[in-house]
Order: sequence, then C-alpha cells, then structure tokens
Amino acid sequence: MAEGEQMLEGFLCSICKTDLKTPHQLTKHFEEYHNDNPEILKTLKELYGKAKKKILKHEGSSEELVTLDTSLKYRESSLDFYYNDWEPQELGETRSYTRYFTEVRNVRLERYSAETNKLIIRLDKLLNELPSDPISRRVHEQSIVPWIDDKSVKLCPTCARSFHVARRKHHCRLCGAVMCHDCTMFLALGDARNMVNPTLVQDDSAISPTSTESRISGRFVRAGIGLSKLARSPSSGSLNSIISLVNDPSRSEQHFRLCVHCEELLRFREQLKERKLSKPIICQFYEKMRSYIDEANEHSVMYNKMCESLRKGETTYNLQDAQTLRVKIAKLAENIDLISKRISILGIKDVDNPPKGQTLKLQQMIRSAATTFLKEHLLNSKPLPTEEEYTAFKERRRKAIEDRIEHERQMEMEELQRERRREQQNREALISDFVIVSRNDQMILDKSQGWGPSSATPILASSMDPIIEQMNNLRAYIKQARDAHKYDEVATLETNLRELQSAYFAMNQGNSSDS
Amino acid sequence: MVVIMVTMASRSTAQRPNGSTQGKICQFKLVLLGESAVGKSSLVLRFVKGQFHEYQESTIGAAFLTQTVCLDDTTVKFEIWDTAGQERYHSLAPMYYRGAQAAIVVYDITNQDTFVRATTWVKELQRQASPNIVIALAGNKSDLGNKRVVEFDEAQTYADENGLLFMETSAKTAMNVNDIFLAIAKKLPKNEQTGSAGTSGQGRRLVEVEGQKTTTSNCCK
Ligand SMILES: Nc1nc2c(ncn2[C@@H]2O[C@H](COP(=O)(O)OP(=O)(O)OP(=O)(O)O)[C@@H](O)[C@H]2O)c(=O)[nH]1
Ligand SMILES: [Mg+2]
Ligand SMILES: [Zn+2]
Ligand SMILES: [Zn+2]
Ligand SMILES: [Zn+2]
Repeated sequence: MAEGEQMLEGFLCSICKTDLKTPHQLTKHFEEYHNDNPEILKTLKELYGKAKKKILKHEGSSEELVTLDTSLKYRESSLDFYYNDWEPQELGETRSYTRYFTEVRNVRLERYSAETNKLIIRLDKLLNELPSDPISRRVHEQSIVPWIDDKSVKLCPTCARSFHVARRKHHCRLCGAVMCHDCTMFLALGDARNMVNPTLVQDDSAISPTSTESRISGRFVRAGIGLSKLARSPSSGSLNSIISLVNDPSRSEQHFRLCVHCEELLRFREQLKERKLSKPIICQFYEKMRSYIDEANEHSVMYNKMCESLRKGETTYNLQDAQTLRVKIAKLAENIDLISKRISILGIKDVDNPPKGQTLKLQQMIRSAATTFLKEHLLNSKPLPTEEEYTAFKERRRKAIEDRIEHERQMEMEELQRERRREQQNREALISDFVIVSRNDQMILDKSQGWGPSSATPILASSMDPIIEQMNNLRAYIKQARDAHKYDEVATLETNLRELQSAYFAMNQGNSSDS
Repeated sequence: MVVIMVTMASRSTAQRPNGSTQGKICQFKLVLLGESAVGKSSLVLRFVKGQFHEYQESTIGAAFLTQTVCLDDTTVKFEIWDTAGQERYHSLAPMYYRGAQAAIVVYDITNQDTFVRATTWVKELQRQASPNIVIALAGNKSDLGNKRVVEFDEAQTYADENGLLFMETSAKTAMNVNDIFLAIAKKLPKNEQTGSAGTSGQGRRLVEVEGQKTTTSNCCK
C-alpha cells in the first residue's frame, strides 16, 4: 500500500471508494452510478456470497440482506445474456504439482521408514543369540543399543513425572531412552521374531480380517497392566507369560521392554503389513458371490441346452440329470441372493460407524446387480417337461423321423454318394487352404475349460477282461462327469459304454457259437 | 438292426443356448495311441489341466478328457480318448480310433522300440481308421535330449513320407504340447458346410443304431 494512503474499511464502492454503510445501499449505488460495468457487479455478488454467512450472524442486518439477495438475483438474470455469449475461456498456464507432492511425500515416508527400519534391524540384532541369563542378556542388549545415562534424567520424558522408589527408571531396549514403567510396553520375544521374519505371513490373517486392530495391539502388553485387563489380550501364547511375568519377575526375560514411541512405530508397521495381507470382508463376500454367479452361469447354459433338447424329444440328455441341475441352480440362486443381501447390509448394525457415501452405494449396487442377474438369468429359465410330456415329445420325434425316412429313403443313398464326392473335394481344398493360410495365430486355451476324471482306482485289474475293466472305468467316469455337471461328457461316455456293451455281447455270442 | 438317418441333433447345434451364434463350435474326437509309458496320459494332462506328474500311473483301458480351445472365430472342443499302451488293452483301441477325426501317435525319443511301435500304429490307422483322419506323430520326452536315440530327422522323414504332422514334445516342460493340438485343430476341416446355422443341419447325419448314436460327420456337430 502506498505511503500516506489511508486504510479504508466498510462497504466501499470499488470504483469511487465511497463508503455506503450497508450492502443494500452499495448495490443500489452501484446500479445507479456504475451499471455499465457488469463484470464488477458479478464480482461483487460473489464477494457477498462468501461474506453472507458471516454477515448473517450479525443481528439487525438480515432485512437488508434479503433485499440484497433478491436484487442480485434480478441482476443475474439480466446478465445471463452476456455470460452465454462468451466464448469458453481458454486454459492459461498450468503446472503439475504431482512431482512436488511425491517428493515431499517420499521424504516423509523415508524418514518414517528409515526410522522404523532402524528399529527392525536393532530388534533383529537383539534377537540374534539372545542370552537367557539376565546379566549377559543385559550386556548383549547394551552392546547393540547403548543405554543413555539415567542419572541425567530427572523426569520421565513422556509423562513428565518424577522418578522415585515407587516409580523407577527403565530403559527402552530399542532406543536406549529412559522412561517410567507406565510409559513402557512389553513386546513378547515370539512376536518380535515374527516382526523381523520377512517371509512370515500371519496364518490367522485370513480368518478374521475385521479384528486386525485388536490382534496387533494384542502383541504389545501394557507393562503395568492389571490382571483384570489381561483377558483383553487375544495374542495366544502371551497370556501365560504375562501372568507369570506379573507373578514371577525372573520370567520377564520373555519380553523386550520398549518405550511407547518405539512401540508406536513398530505397531504402525505391523498394521501396514496386516492391511496389505488382509482383504476387507466385503471382498471376500463379493468373491464368493462371483464364484456362485460364474458357476450358475455355466450351469444355466448347460441347463438351457438340455431343456431345449429334451423338449425336442431327443435322448441326448437325461431328464433326471436336468432336474438335478435345476435344483443345483436354484440352490446357487439362493446363495447369491443371501450373500448379496448380506453385502448390502454389511456393517449397518455398527451404530457408531455405519457404511455411508461410496461404501454404502457400492454395497447397494452389488446387491442390485445380483438381483438383476437372478431375475435375468436364473428365474426366467424355461421349465422342464414332466415325465409324461417328455415321453410324448420322444414319441412325436420318433414319428417325425420315421415319416421323413419313408420319404427320403430312396433318395438318400444317391444323395449321400453325391455329397461324399463333394465333401471329399471340399475337404482337400480346405486342407490345402489351412496349410497355406497357416497364420501365426494363437489358440486361446483356458485351462478351466478342460475336464477329465480323476484317475479311477483299478478294481482287481489284470485278471479281468479288458472290456469289462473299461466298462467299470466308464461307469466311474460317468459318475464323475455327472457330479461335475458335464452333461455333454456324460452323453459321450454313455454312448461309448453302450458300444462296449454291444461289443462285449457280440464277442460272447461269437465265443459260445464257437464252442 | 435298424439304421436310421436323421438330421442333426441338438448337440450339434452351432447356436449357443442364449441365442448368440457368434463363431462356430466344432467338436472333434481325438485318440492317443502308443507304447506304454511314452507319455500319452502326461501329454493329455498337460493339455487339459496344465499339470505334469513325475509318477503318472499307467492307464487302464482308456481315459476320457475334454478341452475347449478358441481358434480364430471357432470354438474347438476336443473329446480326447487316452488309450492304455499296455498290450493287453490292444483290443480296445479300435473302439476309440473308429470314428475319430484325429489321432496322436506317441513315441519316446529315448526308446527306439517305442518308435517302431508308433509306426505299426500308424499303419493300423491307415488301414482301419477313417480315411480322413488327421494323424500327428509326437516324439515325446524331448527334455531328455541327452538320452536321445531316435533322431529328429529320422522321424521327420518318416512323417513326411506318410503325410503326418510331426513334433517333438515334452509333457514335462510343456514344449510343443499346445502346439501339436493347435496344429491338429488347424488341419481339421471346420467349415466344410457353409451357410447359416439354421440350415447347417441339412448336410449332417447321425446314424442311430438301436437307439445309439454315432456321428458319421467329421465336423461341427
Ligand atoms: N522326462 C519326461 N518324462 C515324461 C514325459 N512325459 C511323460 N513322462 C514320464 O513318463 C512316465 C509314463 O508317462 P505316462 O503318461 O503314464 O505314459 P502313458 O503313455 O500314458 O503310459 P500308459 O498309460 O501305460 O500307456 C511317467 O513317469 C511320466 O512322468 C516327458 O515329456 N518328459
Ligand atoms: Mg497313460
Ligand atoms: Zn461508486
Ligand atoms: Zn512416564
Ligand atoms: Zn524407545
């Protein structure tokens, strides 16, 4: 601000600097004297918009503000004309701050992780060949982390209370600082080992993804904790050692004493690790639901195919199989319904922190996607024919075939021959095509598409007739294929079984006529 | 015995149940033949499930597996019959190569006898199987190169003379396993009958023998 210039305050006109005392009067003044300048009016309006809330708190001026508001609205509509006419504004100079952000962030992360890593390295060293005898253990500990001289510490640096006989000084084994008993924690040796083991994955992490917090905090045991509170600690083996620690000081060697600051860093690291490992419960539910949906999809494709075929009176599939499949699909639909319902109300009961915003929306979307799927794909599936209907369909089909055969019989042989010749030519042409066109296209192979029975256990092999052996095999395969709802495979295997049966029959006929 | 000619059954429909007719679906019967322990089951297991077992049990009778692959716009479903190589099951083999559109005859590159046996299988197929059958010769266990006794060129020459596809494979390392099935799939005629899915049934025939069905067609059932 220029020298000697007076600082002005109030509802000043931006052009003539008159103090108009109230916003209402300022606006009026502006309309009267400077209404050739719409841009300024717009700025003014915005300014008031922001200030409005603050001003509203002042008593007395509310009446004037209402007028201001309406008059501005009026102005606004008359200004629309100008705004709409303007070209879209061009983007000016831009600058990305992402790099700057990551730089700042990395420095912070590094400082945190460097600090934590230092502690982990120390922990590792401490654990390495840790003597069990208390005196040499103390020497070992101090050789790795020098303890600060406790004489110079008069007050606990954390809680600022003075030390005396009842509040003794303790050293943190990881940073060597002095703290009072209340400001230190115990870390069980077993848990410490887990922390430094880079490969160890908490095997219980998958079971209870929701209890992450409690499991981690359970690793650290408040040094001064009373027995009544111990039950809270779920960390399995440590309970016994804590009890014995309280009763029997000689067993305190099962833990490292840490100051709350070191403990905090370690706990944070553990939490990060856990978070990486554990899947939120909603993911687990969702994956389960997806797998049901995939299975249901696969089955319903098969079911529709079977249903269509049965309605035509074909004997490719078996009515009972289709019924079984229908029941199976209904069960899956029920499961999908249940699990999606559970997803939609996940966490609703948590009064303090119910799902909201995007989380809630996601849960509801999953549910509605599931119901849509059920409606569109599963609930509308065609019903199967009853036994009687199926018999009638088969009969009708047989009749139709017989009729056609009567009609086609004479032409059939002739036509067949003609066609064989044609096919032969086509095929030759095609084969050469395929060889020449041999593009380097790749076959897409989806291993999940493959099916094969698990090897059938041979029942009294070698002594049996190979055909009988194979018939046994086939029966076992058919059962497996049916269990896997692979009905095309069932059909092929059944065809083969019938072939073998007739071959076996023919063979025995031959044998008996020989003898 | 009544032989009934019928037009194609629903299994042969190229239409998916949901009505989409995008792409063709072909189903082929493929049989594996060869001396015991050359690795037939291992090749199939690798192709179908992507697995390999060091201690694969010797097959009893014939195992049946299926695998579906996509090739260009065609979905090819292989119905694979993995026969037992032990001599006592020889009598079963015709059941499985009869009506097959493709055969893989397998030998073990570390065992000369298995190659000789493979050539007799090829002869048997040429005499007794469908004249249009696509035969592939697989020299398996190519990972055991240091124990090789059957030379690549020897087998290649034999395959060329007999019009066979030929590859050296390894079920253990998966080398050429998918490739040999791919080569077969490519060589199999997939669109001998042109026209829309609606009329494609006309050229197909199923032979129903006393309620049984076997396809006489080579393709796109
Ligand atoms: N090194 C090596 N070993 C193989 C390979 N393929 C199969 N084997 C081994 O050879 C042995 C026999 O393999 P199988 O697949 O059972 O042979 P098979 O031809 O099915 O035998 P049969 O069922 O008796 O006719 C098993 O121990 C396999 O682990 C291969 O590519 N490399
Ligand atoms: Mg085998
Ligand atoms: Zn003014
Ligand atoms: Zn303290
Ligand atoms: Zn510390």
